Order: sequence, then structure tokens, then C-alpha cells
Amino acid sequence: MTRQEIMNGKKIVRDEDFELVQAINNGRTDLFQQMVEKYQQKIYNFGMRMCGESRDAEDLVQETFLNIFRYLNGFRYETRFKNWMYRVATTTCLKAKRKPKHAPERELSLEEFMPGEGEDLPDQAPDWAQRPLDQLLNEELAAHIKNAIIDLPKPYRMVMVLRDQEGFSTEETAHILDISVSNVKVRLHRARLFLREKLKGYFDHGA
Amino acid sequence: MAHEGHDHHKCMALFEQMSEYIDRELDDEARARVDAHIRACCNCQACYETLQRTVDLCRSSAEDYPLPSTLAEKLRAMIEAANR
Repeated sequence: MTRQEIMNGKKIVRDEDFELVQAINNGRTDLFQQMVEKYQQKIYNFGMRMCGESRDAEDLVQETFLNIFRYLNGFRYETRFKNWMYRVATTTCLKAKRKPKHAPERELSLEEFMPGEGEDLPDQAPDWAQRPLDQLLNEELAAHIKNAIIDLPKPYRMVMVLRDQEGFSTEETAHILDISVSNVKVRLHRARLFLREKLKGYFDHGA
Repeated sequence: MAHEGHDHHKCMALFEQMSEYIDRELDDEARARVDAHIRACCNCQACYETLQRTVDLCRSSAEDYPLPSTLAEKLRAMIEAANR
């Protein structure tokens, strides 16, 4: 359970990791392994969603936990520990050298997804938007979605992964990435429109 | 063809707000406006359904990846080295 408290005159967040973090910061560094075991799966998932390659994701996990180990003393309980950990992970990910195979860094404009005036628009959603989800989602489609997300420019990919895959709220995502709430919304909307185009292409030509 | 009730400017305004609508981040007034427009415009209804489905698929496809067998040992060694 997470609750807010006042400690030494400052507002702090007391979450499920509060005591573990305090113990580590008070010298029980042997307990760090416990933290790693608890969160390695989450950070590895995040790494795979961001990088798409196991080796890159492993590097991200190692770098992230090393940075957490180095900087945990500076954690002031102003947020849930998990959110701070993702802040470390996203910063580590942003600093990682961009591989040429990844999507080029470019802005996605809303106009590129907007239907033009007078354009022939569907007056009914296609079959893939109406069929039950469990009948639709299979391994091939899941792989297609993963590849489409990897094709997103990094700032958009990061927002989409945090919001729609890691389950953070708009406000939490803004805090993790140190950007405004409106910026999160803009990036997320464009990322979703980008993914929708990829799904349209998949169902029109590939499925 | 665009639906005869289709008002391009209204539809474009809604298009920009579609993710906030899906995420229930619009205030009551804006939400009611979008609800009413979607009911009246089959083009926007179709647009909304495909984007909602995109979000559902994105969320549902986010499963755990199998951890590489070597990762736990690498992390243990890294922490031991950092602890020294």
C-alpha cells in the first residue's frame, strides 16, 4: 500500500519498498540483491520493449541497476520507488548509443495521420476492430505490434511503452520522463496513430 | 465516401482529442461533446473504434519476456563488484 506522510518536514511517499530502500541506504547493501530479484523482470521487459534485442535489454538492466546502486542514497521518497527506478531506466536508455537499426529520430506530425478534406473515409470500423480481442491476438500479431513499436522514434516509443505497456498514468509518465503532461499526451496520441497505421497495413495486406 | 453528417472541422477537432477520450482524461463537457459527435458521425465512430482497438492490442500484447539464463549471474557479479 502506498501513502503519503510528512518526515522531517517534507512530504514523502511510503510505498511497499520504503523499508527495503531505507535498510539498503542505512548500510544493508546485501539487501540490494533482493531489490534486483524483485524488479529485474520489469526492467528486462522495458528493455526488450525499447530495444527489441535481448543483448541490448540485458545491458540496459545491468546499467540501470548499477545506476540505482550508485544513486539510491539520493532518493528522497518524493515518489514511489518504482517510478524513480523507471526514471533511472529511461535516463539510462536515452543515454545508450542509438543503433542504426532503430528508427531515425524524427518528429511525428499529427497531419501525417489526419484524413484530408473530402477523403474517402470508412463509415464502419473494419473487422479487426470489431472481433473479440482473444480471437484476434496471436503470436504473429503480437510480434508485428512489437516491431511496429520498435519502429517508433525513441521519444514516442518511450511514452507509449510507459503508458500503454508498463501501465503508468499520464502524470507518472510525465514525472518519469521529466516532460509536461501535455507533451506526454501529444506523443502518446501520435504513437497510437502510428501503430494504428501499421495495424491497418497488417490487416489489409499481411494477415 | 464521407458520411453526409460529416463536418470536417468538427471531426478534426475530435481526431486530436481521441486518445484523451479513450483515456477518460477529458472533462465532462468535452466528453459529452465527443460522445454526441461519435453517435452522429459514423466516420468518427469507425475512427474511434480502430484507435481503441489499437490501444487494447498494444496493452494486451505486453507480456513478460523470458529472462536470459545468464542475466541473474551477471547481476549478482556486478553487485558483488560494486559492493567491494
